[in-house]
Amino acid sequence: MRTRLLITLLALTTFGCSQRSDWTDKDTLVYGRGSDSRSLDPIAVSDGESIKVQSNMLERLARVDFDGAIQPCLATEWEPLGDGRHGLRFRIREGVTFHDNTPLDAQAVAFNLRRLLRSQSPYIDFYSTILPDKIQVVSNQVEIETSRPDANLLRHLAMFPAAIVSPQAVKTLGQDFGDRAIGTGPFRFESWEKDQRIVLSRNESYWGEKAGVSRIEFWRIQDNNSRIKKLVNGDLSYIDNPNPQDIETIENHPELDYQMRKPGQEISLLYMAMNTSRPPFDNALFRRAIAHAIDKKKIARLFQGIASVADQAVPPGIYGHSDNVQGIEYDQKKAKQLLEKSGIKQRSFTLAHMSNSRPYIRQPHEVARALREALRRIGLEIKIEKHEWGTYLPLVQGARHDLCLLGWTTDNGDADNFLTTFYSSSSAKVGSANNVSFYKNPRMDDLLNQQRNEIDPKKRQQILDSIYRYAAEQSPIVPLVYVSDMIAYHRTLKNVRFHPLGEKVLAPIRIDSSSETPN
Amino acid sequence: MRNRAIRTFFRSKTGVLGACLVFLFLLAALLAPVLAPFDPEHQIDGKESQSPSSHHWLGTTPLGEDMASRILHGARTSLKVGVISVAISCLAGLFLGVIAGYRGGWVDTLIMRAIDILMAFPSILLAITIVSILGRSLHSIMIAVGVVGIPVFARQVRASVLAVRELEYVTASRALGAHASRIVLRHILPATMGPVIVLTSLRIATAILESAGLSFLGLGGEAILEWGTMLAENKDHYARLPHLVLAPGIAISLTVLAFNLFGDALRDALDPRLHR
Repeated sequence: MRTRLLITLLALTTFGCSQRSDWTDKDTLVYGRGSDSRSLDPIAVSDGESIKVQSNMLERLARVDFDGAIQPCLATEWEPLGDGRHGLRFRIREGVTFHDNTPLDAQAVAFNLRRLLRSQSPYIDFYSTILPDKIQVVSNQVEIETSRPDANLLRHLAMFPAAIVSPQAVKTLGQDFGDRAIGTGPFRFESWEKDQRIVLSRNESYWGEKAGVSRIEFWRIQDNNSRIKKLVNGDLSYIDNPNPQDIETIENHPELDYQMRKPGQEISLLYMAMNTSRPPFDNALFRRAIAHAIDKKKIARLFQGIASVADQAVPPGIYGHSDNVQGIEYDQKKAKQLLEKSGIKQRSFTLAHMSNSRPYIRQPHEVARALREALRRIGLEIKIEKHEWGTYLPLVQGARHDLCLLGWTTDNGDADNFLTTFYSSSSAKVGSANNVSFYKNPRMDDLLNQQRNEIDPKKRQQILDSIYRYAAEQSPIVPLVYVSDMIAYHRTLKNVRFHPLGEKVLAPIRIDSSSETPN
Repeated sequence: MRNRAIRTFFRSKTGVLGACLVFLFLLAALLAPVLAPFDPEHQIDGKESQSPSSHHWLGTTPLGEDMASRILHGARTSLKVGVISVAISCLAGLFLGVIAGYRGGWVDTLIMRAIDILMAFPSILLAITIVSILGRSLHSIMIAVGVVGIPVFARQVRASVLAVRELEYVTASRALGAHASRIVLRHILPATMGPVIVLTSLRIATAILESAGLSFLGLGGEAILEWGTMLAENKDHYARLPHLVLAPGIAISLTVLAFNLFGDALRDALDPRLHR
């Protein structure tokens, strides 16, 4: 950790001194972001920084387009299995090769699905209905049979963990596969200088429409101010998650533009998780006391207009969000009463947070300080601990925290993606958990299964509503705010579009250096 | 001699200004709990992101904390860091400098080469390395800044000892059979005190600046009332709430300037070569 800190500082210094990119001439998209990726192997990660690089190199059987519809990708078509069997049959696209020139075929797809099901992926629960022994290859088709009807199977197969990578590369590279993943996407891996930059180059033999730029450089620039300055200076051409106060700078700059998700359409949630595997957070009354102590309006104000108060775990831009549910209200008196009633005497805890901005948080330390003050007012003493992203996720996924700040951005646009992440016991495996409150409750698991199996939208919404109410009663996490994600870029970049799932699909972007600067 | 030094000091206008500012700084640091109008950690509801006013002289943070109170309490931290880190530098430097200068020979060579190695590293990089090893905290910063300052004291003290060692009264004392420790404590140390006092006041300025720099980089731990940390916490709000950045920035600059002016005047007053 300490060595890493030192290296990071040195790397930042070096980067700050040396980078001056002539990206227009080089036809390069120079992307600035807050953190480095953790791995390029889709089954090894759950964080957005890893996914945003993977999404441009690796492809899935189906993909979600810019209008939110599921479209064919490496599969050209699909149909239900029939014959009383649950599941889907996919026809695999022909003539596609991986970046290592090995061909994509049905065997490769089956290999990837089996690999995913055997893995420790934090997303494994989304694929729990798939029967590993019933993944069958028939000619150029793959049959995926499930143990029960799974309305979300296609949606889950369109998510990044189900990306299809080169089986030969997996076998050859072994543990190193995460450092240089090989897929079929519009960009191929070129280099990775850890904690500094990842470079992708255009896949010239791509099966679909070729990417608009010849290279993408993903630079890690942790500081929000530095990122926007480098965009203004022209060192970067595209950044994500600028500070809200930088909107004015961007608006006043003739060469810059930005896109922000509208209020009421947010797809990201910031929450505080309590580690229920540790006392006293295993006590629901104590957890509820903490939930009542937090003034979410105050937290939302810290985001200066890009966040709204969260009353449930699922943001309003996600299918399954409910307008009929009221979250836990801010009531310090009630919080103190519940604290008393819980019988918990321990008063000192730690609150961990990441050091860098994320799509769901710009100022982690400020939010942490607001939470500390809120809890101080009901008599709890909170020590704040800041960690770099690379060490932060392993820490919270390893259950080595009391309280922690984390967020979630949708992978598939459905409420199940959030609820399984936060409340399912199968997502709470120490070491690879997405459920970082490690909350395990058979009743909740049962409710989660019910909503997954329910095909009727109205009935499903009723189940979802009851989950929201039960979740508020249990409060393993405190949903804090829904946050609008944002990107800023140079106007010479054309075809920049916001993806409905927040994915960074960069292939359509091209650089038009001849375009005139508007006044 | 003493009166002349005092007269020389007070003849220096910049020295008097420095002394006044140092006095104000000490006053703010020591009486912060009394002088601060609010609890520096208290987030006042409905008073977030306020501009400076008669109620909140330096405005409030986006969390509703009174900035003036935070600056006053920040002075305490700066004083603590300055004094403790310079004490570390001074004591270790005195010890090494006296031994090297008085014993000479291989002991001198060994100590001074070690000091040379220490000086070969840029001070801020050395401090970052030390904090990285010890872990992020204010204590680590004090130790790091203290270690970084050791060579300055050691070299100065050694030079003073070398100058005094062969003076007649020291030789006489040695001839009378006085023990080395007595010679050092009674005759040599007092003669080195002038430069050490000057160096101490100048080093406090450097120590405050270095510790603010390290805290700004986030090496001082989380949510501490320290000027460098305040700069880091508020830098994203510079365009909207510039006073939140200017206040700790000016506090650091003024304090460093004060100790430098004070130290310079002190050096002029205590240096016998300047009294001709």
